[in-house]
Amino acid sequence: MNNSQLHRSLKALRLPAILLAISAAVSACITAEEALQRQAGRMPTPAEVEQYNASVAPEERIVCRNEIPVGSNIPVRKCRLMNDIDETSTFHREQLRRALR
Amino acid sequence: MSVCQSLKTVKRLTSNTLFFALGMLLMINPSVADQLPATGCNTVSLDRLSTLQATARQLHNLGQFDQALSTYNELFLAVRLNDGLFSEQQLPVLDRLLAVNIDLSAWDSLNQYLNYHEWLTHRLFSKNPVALAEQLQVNSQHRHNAANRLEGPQRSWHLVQARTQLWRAVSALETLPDEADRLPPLWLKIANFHYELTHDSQRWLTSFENRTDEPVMISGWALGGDEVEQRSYEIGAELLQKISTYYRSRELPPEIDRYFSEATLISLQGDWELLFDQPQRAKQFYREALSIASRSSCAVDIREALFGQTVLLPVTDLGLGRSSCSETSLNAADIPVGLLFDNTETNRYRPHWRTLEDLDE
Repeated sequence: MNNSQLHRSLKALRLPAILLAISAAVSACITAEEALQRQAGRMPTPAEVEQYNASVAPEERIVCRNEIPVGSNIPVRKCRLMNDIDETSTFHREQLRRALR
Repeated sequence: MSVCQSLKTVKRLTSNTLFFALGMLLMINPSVADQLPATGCNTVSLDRLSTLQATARQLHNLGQFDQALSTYNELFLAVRLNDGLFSEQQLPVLDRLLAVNIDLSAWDSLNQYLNYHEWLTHRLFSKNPVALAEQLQVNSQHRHNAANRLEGPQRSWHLVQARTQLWRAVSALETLPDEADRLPPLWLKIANFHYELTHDSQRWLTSFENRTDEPVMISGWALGGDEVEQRSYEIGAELLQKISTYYRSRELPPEIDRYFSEATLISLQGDWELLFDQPQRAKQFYREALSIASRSSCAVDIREALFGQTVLLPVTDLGLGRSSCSETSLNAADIPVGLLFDNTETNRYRPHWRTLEDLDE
């Protein structure tokens, strides 16, 4: 391969290389944004939950547990107020009773 | 009650309930109340207080708990009369009263004093996080002592409450960055409470900390026994990791060997895995600890200190204050390995460095 052929090949490679670099940069930006979002919206760790629960009134305590949503096998960590769990479970029990009547 | 004393008391009172409580106490114990007119505003003399204190301590030491309780009660009342219902001076007497109640297994009375201690602590130290944390730890310690003498739900209840008090102490101390050094020992204690509670968790019963502040177990909605154990494991592992990270990011005093402290912290993480029946993970941590120890000029001493003598698990002291080389006096060759490191249902020991290979059997 002579010098002019090499030059042409390099020129041909330049555009894809630039596109690749831009896409890498853009994807890196998205990843950083995602990371920030994840950080902001991350679920509290079990120890953090316990520390929080120790310093609030019983009705303000939360429970975090892994739940498997309908249509998926992948567990998702959900945190809920204990009061909400109680109310939801009472509501569902009543609905079930009505349906069974 | 003299006019002077009444005015003094009224000034200090902020709630009618407490005023009523003081009145009730005076009615119950006339021996102290009788002294009031004679001593005027000073109520009970300092001499009398010293005598009561010495007598109560002596009776307690002699094992005469009933009489000690009665004397401490009298002293408690006298202190409250002298210094007021919101005085800090009550705390040392309360501390002794709590101890005597535990010795007497007077659980109802103990609970009342514990609640009062907690209430008073928050009342006195809401703006002093260090003092608040210290008194919460005192409360926690008494609850732990009570738990050690109890069984079943009552024991679990006190353990959960003891742990809760420590979390509150942690929250208080976290508001002061300069006091961060006080946190790791508390984290370790909390982790150990989790380990203790895993033995008490019952699959079909509601866990205390989630459902109620009352010492009553309710069947129904609950975290299952397995879930409680898994959560305890996760919290403990998280706290031990936090301790490790904390010390790695700090500059240690020159007298402390960094390799020693790092190896100690990693071996604690290994202990946690072993306690929760994860021998393979434990082995990884222990090997890492030994590898770190090997970088030190005192490698053999560190190895012997951490893995050459009997270490009952869970470890209750971080043990980072040691310098390493000069402080290990044990000769590894003298230890009957097979006898000392025989893990059983009730007692678990950190394995000897020679037996690490057999840990997974």
